[in-house]
This record gives sequence, C-alpha cells and structure tokens, in this order.
Amino acid sequence: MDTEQTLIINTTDRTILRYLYRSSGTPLSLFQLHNDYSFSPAQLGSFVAKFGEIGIIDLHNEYISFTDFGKKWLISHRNTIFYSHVQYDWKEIPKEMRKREIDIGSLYLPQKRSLGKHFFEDVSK
Amino acid sequence: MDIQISAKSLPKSRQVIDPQVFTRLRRLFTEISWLVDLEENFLEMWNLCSDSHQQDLVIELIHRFSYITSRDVKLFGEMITNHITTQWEADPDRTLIIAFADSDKPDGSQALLQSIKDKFALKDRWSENQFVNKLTAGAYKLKSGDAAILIDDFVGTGKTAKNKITWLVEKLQARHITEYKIFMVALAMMEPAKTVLNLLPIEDYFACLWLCRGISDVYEGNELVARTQSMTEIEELLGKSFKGRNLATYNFGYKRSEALFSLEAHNTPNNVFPIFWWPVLNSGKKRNPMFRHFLG
Repeated sequence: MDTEQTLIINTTDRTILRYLYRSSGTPLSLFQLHNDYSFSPAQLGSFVAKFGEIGIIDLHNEYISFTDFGKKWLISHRNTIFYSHVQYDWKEIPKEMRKREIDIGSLYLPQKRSLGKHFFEDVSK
Repeated sequence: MDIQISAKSLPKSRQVIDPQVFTRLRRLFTEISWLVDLEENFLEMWNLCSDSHQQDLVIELIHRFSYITSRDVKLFGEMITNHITTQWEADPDRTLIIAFADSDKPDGSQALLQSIKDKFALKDRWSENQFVNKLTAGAYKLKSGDAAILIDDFVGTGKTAKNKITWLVEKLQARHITEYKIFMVALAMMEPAKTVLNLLPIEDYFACLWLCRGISDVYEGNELVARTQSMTEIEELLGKSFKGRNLATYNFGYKRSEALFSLEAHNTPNNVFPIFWWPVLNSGKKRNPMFRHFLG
C-alpha cells in the first residue's frame, strides 16, 4: 500500500470502520468482531496492519479504537468512505442480457399472454 | 492521502475459531502481509497441526519464510545489475549473462534473466546479444577472454550449480578456450551452498538473499529435537507418493535443504519443506498447498 498516494479501502475495512464509528469511542474486541460478524483473522489482521500503520487506529490487548488523528480523518473522509458507490462485478448485468429500458413515466402495456390466468383476479383481491 | 473504495474483499470466516487460536492467527496476518492472499491455503496447512508445538513451528517458519513478490523481484533485479556493473565491473564487450537453464523446459533462471535485461537497456555498450537464455547456447557463444555470468533464481544445495559449471568448463576446454572467467549470481542462495561454490572454478558469486536452513540452523539441543519431531509428524500426514515421486526424497526439502523460499507466481523449489507444496495427503485426498512445485 502506498500511503503517500492512495489508501485502498475495501468493503470489509469500510464495515469495520463503521462499527468503530458507531461504538462512540468504546474500543472494540477483535475476537468479538470475528465472533459476531464472522470477520476472518486475515480480514482483521489486514485491517489492523493497514490502519494501524498510518495511525488511524490503536490496538491494545486485542481491542481496537480510533486514535485522535483517526477520528478527525474519519470525519473528514466520511462521505467518501461510507457513501461511495461500490461497483460489484457480480451485480453488473452484462449488456447482451439487458433489454431496452422503459423510459420513466412512459405508458406500459403488459403482454396479456405472459400474465397468469388469474393475475387480475389476484390483483383485485 | 487519496482514498479509493474497492469492491474486492477477503472472504469471511466459515466458522468461529477458538479465541486463543484466533488471536495467534490474527497477529500472524497483521505481521506477514503477503500471507493474507494465501489465507485459505495457509489455514489448510495450519489445520494439519494436531498440537500447539506443531502450530508454533508453522508460525515460526512463516515468520522466517522469504516470499518474494513481483515488486521485490524488481528491486533485486536492480541489486544484481548494480553488482554486475559496479562490483564485478563487467566489461560489456567481453561479458555474457547466461541463464542456468540447460533444457527445453521453461525455467526460473530465464524468468530472472528476462527481468534484469531491461535494467541494462540504458547502460552504455550493453546489448541484447549479451543475454543468453540457455547455458548450452552460452557455452558455444563464449569466446576466449570472455566472462560468463551465470544466473539462477535459487541455489539450494549447490549440487546443480556444481554439475552445470563443471559441464560448462568441460565444454570450454573441449573448444580449447582456456582464458575465461565465470561468475555466479542468484536471487537467493542457501548458506550450505557456499561450501560447494567455494570449491568450483569460479571467480565470485553473489546472492541478494542468503537463506539458512529453516530448523537445523535456527535451533539447538532439545529445541532442535522437538522442532524436528514436530515437522516429521506433520510430514507423516502427507501422501507417500505423487506422480511417481516419493515424498521420502523431499522430506524437509530435497536433500534436507529445509528451505523457506518462494517467488510469487513461480515454481517453488523442491528444497522447500514439502508441507508448503506437496499436493496430496496420505488419505489420498488432494491438498491446496500454499505454493506449487511441478512434479513429474
């Protein structure tokens, strides 16, 4: 990781940062994070290495908490960290599998043949 | 500091681990960054351990393991280039840099040669013709008064180096070339290889990394006995043979080299402890080892 240039935050890091943020200053037990949310030793080990190295978190007796710098850093970057859109490969529908999108507010007439025989009866119930 | 959000994350745990074991593993993953990408493979090996002594040994070996990433190769390539040009003051007009490969199979020495070639691109008088990807070709390209710099990625026992250098010298003598200089360079060499290399007709040798034996050179007395016992017990869980090769040949690594070395995305030397690369268990079940070695 090139800390001088870009800090890459993955979705695991983001989730743990969120739990830490919500804990309002109470240190979080790493084992508890593993036990409650199934974070693996590698995920937590990597998180501690990455954010401990640049002084964002403190590790004491297997509990993590934000440093003073870490709190300020998180507040100043909270929009990027928590609200950035993440592009998941598995969520993307390939182009060739997409149909023409219907314009918002346009009239839409369903194909009656494609509907079940009792569709309208069910709707009216 | 810019921030980039990535969708790529490591997989979650499939089960809750005992708190003490969790803490040990968590610490290990914090301290050894390269291990994170090999988590699943490492845990499979970890699960072979049946007691805390074996677990201690595995953790200690991982701490001493030299895992060379692509970024490291670039740095080591620069180190080798500097050594050749500055320390050995190789004359560009009278030097061939030759990969140790001697067959038609792809080889780690060729990969290393390729990776250092570009470092010479900006140096005066060095040309592409001075890099030879096969020892057998190099033996016929060398002229009287030339220097041959033989390059390999890893030197374990030094036996292969001895055989190939002896072969090269014989070929040169057969061609009535008596004036020549041979140098040997590798990314990593094992300390015991020094004894062999010192007896060879070479001017000098250089390695970016010098590796000691993973157990025998580190522990003494009862500790050595206990660690040796633990490793023997773990190796007993591995399949006795694979593709016609017997595990017995590779116990504690080929010729008991006890090497702890692997190059990212390369064939791992068979000198490495087989728990890191042997592909089957004695139950016949296939393993997913941390590293790969092409057997057969």
